[in-house]
Amino acid sequence: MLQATNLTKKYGDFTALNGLNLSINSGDIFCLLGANGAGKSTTINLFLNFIEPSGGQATINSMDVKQYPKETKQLLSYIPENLMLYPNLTGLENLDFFCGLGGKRYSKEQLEELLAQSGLQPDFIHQRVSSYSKGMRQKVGIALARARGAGVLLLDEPTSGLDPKASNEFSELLLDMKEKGVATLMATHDLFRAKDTGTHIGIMKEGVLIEQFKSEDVSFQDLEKLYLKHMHN
Amino acid sequence: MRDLFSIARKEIIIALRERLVVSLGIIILLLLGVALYAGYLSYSQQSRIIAEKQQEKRQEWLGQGDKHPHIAAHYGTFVFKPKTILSVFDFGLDTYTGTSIYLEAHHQHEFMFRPAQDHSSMIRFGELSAALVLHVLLPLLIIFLAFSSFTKEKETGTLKLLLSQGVSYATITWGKVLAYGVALVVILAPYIAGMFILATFSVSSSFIPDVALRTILLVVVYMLYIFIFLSLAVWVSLRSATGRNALLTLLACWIFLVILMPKTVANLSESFHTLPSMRAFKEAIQNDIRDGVDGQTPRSVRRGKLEKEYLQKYQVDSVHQLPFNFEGVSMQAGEEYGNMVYDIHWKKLRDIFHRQNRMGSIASIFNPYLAVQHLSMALSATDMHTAIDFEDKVETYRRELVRKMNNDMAQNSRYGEFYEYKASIDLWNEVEDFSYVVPSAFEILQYYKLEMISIVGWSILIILLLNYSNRKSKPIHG
Amino acid sequence: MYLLIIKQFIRSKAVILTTILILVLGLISIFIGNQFLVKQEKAIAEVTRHQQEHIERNVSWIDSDMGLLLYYLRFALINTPDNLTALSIGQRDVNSGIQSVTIRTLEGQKYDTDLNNPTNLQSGNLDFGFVIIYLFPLLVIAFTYDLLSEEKEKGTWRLVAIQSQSVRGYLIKKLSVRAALLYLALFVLFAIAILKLSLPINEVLMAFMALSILYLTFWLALSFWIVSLQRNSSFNLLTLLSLWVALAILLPASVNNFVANQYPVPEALSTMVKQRDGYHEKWDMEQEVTMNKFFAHYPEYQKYPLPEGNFSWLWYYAMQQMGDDESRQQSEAMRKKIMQRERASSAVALFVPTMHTQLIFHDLARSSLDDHLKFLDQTSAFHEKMRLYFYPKIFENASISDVDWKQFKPEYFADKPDINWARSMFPLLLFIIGFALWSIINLKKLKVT
Repeated sequence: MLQATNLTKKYGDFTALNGLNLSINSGDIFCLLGANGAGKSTTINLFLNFIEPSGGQATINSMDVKQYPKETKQLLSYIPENLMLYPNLTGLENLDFFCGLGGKRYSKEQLEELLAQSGLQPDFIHQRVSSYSKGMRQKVGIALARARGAGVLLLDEPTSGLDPKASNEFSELLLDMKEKGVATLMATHDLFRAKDTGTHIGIMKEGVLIEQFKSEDVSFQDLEKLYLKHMHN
Repeated sequence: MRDLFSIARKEIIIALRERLVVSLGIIILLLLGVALYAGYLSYSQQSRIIAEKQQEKRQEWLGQGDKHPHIAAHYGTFVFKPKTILSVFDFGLDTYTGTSIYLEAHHQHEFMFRPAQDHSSMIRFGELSAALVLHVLLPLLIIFLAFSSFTKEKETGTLKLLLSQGVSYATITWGKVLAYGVALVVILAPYIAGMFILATFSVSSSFIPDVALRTILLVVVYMLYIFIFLSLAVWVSLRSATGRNALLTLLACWIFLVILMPKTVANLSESFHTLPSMRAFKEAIQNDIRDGVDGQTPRSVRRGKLEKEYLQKYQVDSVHQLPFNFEGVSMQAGEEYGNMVYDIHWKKLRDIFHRQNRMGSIASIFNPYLAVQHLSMALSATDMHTAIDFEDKVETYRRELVRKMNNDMAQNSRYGEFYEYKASIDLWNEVEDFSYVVPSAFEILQYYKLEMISIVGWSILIILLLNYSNRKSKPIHG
Repeated sequence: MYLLIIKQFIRSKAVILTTILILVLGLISIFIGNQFLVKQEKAIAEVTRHQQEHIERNVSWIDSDMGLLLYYLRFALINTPDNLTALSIGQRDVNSGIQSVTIRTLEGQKYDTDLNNPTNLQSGNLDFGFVIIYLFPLLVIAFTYDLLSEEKEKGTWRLVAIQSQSVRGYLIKKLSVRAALLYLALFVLFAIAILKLSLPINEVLMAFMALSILYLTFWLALSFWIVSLQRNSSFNLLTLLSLWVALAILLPASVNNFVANQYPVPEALSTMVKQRDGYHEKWDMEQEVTMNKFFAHYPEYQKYPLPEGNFSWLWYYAMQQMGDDESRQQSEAMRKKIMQRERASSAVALFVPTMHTQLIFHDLARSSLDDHLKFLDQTSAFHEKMRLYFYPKIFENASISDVDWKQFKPEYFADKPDINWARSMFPLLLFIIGFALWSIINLKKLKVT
């Protein structure tokens, strides 16, 4: 589903991403680890076509995101680090609005159902988003991904700042999506979540993907050692 | 297209939930109502007075009794500048041009009774008219409405989410413009409808025949004005990093365009093209009448020439033998000479006015506020050119009146008589009542080509700017 | 501490830019004021020269008929512009400062205005008063609206709240730095104005300056009050700007409409009509009717017998006199109405600082309606004086060469503005104290987050 071929992004002399090759299939959850500025967000932004690559290409379903911005966006759903919705609209209205943009219309009941499935407490569905916690907003984000029936999920540090319970719930939802065949690319700092939820793990440093392996191949202790080793030299 | 409408819908819902925006909208709505009501009050008050007085003056003229035509010409009469129904909407220059003219032989009286004269100096703050609300305050509401249209989405991150849905910048931008545009039109709709009704059913609009056309043009001009400011606000918001920056930029623009520039242009035009003082102006006219335009042919010489001409023409030796009163002919000749001199000087003065106003017109190319202000006055028939047209027609009427008096005197009295001859109501009746018809909208708009180019040009410019920025913008810099 | 606050403040590009902008605009306004003075002086020089020539020429032409000579002769009265007028031009551009009158009916002459482009009248003058009343408040708003919210939005507020002993004190210090720069800009402009326009340093100027300072302080207090509500930057900016629009544009404009509709002046027209009729009707009446009225007004002239015949100057000037006498009632009614307007405006203005300041500026600069009315009164007195001087000469048909025509130079009128310090300053002071106290109370409850 998701493919990066020799993907490179330069800002003048500075190379933010250097020759990234990556392939994520349906049902994979690929977790990108790395320090701030390692190139995780750059990768995600390139897939979103928010920035243009200096070299190589990013494809979704074999379509170059630069050539087919509209088509590829139909396939993906994106949840940034701090998912912000329109505070003056309710959770339901936000969901309705964003679904509508993708051309999907749902009845009120269906929207309520979607939000409930994503774990949003029923009392909050009709309250304005300004009263939501971060976790609740992320749940709306997941509901949106579900509603759009997106095959690709791009997550930029979605669990940072969530309390353990909310974080756990979020992981549950990801696994649920995985079962439905969604390909997920998630940038995160959370080694534990990566090991626990991810099917694949990659470690980035200074714009280069230096390690890539299946999460079942390493124990949590090994992952931590490996990560720290790379961070220190 | 579908996305455009859902974005527009969302914007409207959100705007309706903003307390500040809603209360400002209501305030503007109320102000507009009050302004129009006050405008209507003073319109009906003034037009009633004017209609009454005009008739009263006519009766006085007809009922002045039997008297010598020249005394009647001095007795003269008054004419009044009629109030147009559209002045309810834009008072324009009426406060400063004056409302009545005294018509008398030998004298070109200017407009008298500029209402501004009787006001305390506070009049210079301006008057509350619908035009003030629409020209000055509406842009402010637009700024308040739209300054954060993009910056808020940027600051909260919803912009990225929107874009990740495959929506283009163009769709978001035009969706927003559409939403605010609809909101403003809804606010203004009752007044626009009201204007139409008032304009179409108004009975006293005989002297302004194309009210409906003017109203339509006014609506078009204001729609473009709203569009320009709206798009400008959205564009600045698109280009700004934070709402604060966008707001500061837009407010700076507003103050510059609406408050500072008009005043500066007016003062500059005054210093580049200085008007003579009233006294110098009149003195120059008096001098030319006395000594002749060339400075060589004083009044007595001119009179002598005229005398000789007539004596030759009628083959007589003295003016007493002429079959008519030579005094009347001479007076008319003097009057015509005076008119000629007056026209020369008046033209010079007008040229200065025009040059001053020309600066305003040129400035309006850079400032849509000025363009709309000028067009609004022009279409409401309260502008400079309508005032000038009125003055011209009044002067023509005055000359006709005086000519009739002098001719009658020449025909019916004898040379050397003092004021023994008396004319009667038949003569007074020969002078038709003055009735004024405002030039058509198209005639007036001839003078405002630059202003029309300006608003159309700005509309196109802002569309190009938005499209350019829509293509260039990325949610992440780099 | 102060030094750092100052540094932090003036290192902002926007602050420097706006300060320069207001200085430039201030200079332009002083320049415009100067131009106004130059124009006035030129007009005065012109009228002085013209009057002399005009009298000489007419005297040399009409050497035996006093009545005919006085039909033409004009005498000027000049409302001397104060140099201070240049700072606040007010209605001086609409209302002529020079009256040039013949001894015939006055009412038809005294409302003549100067030549003006109405378009320019409408946009008004960019005088120094405008800079103070409209533009300085905007500068105050730009400098102070984010006094507190900026720190909150940048995240420095928590640190400040913990580090400083008195947060309120810190805010007041920040405010005083901004105020100091504003006062400085104002003083620089006043200094330039004093030099450029050679303003005499007297009580009137002091009052003008004191009022300017108080007016600025009023806006500082108002802004500080909004700041003390501790809302975000955009809210502060929007609210302050709305207040500015209300105070500087909306309220004065509404009051204008209200006053104009409340006190309409139909007398303006009827005075003119009455004046015309008062004179013209007399042509068709028996001469005696006019003479009886005239002698009732001026019994001292009864000694002059009415000459036989159709026409005499005695009769003619008596008719002219009737134009004034019979329109007196309307004229006075009009004056009363206009005074009512003026009074109503200034009463409302006590509650609206922008209007109050504007009106007092005009009073001090002698560009108010009140000043013009006084000038009109003076014109009437001047006209009467000339009449009484020439009436006997005309009726006796005195020899023209016996009169010393050189003595008729334009006369000057200069009213001294009476400064009512309490009425001028008190309303503003009350507002300042009110808002300052309210702010202090608001800041007792500090919201850190």
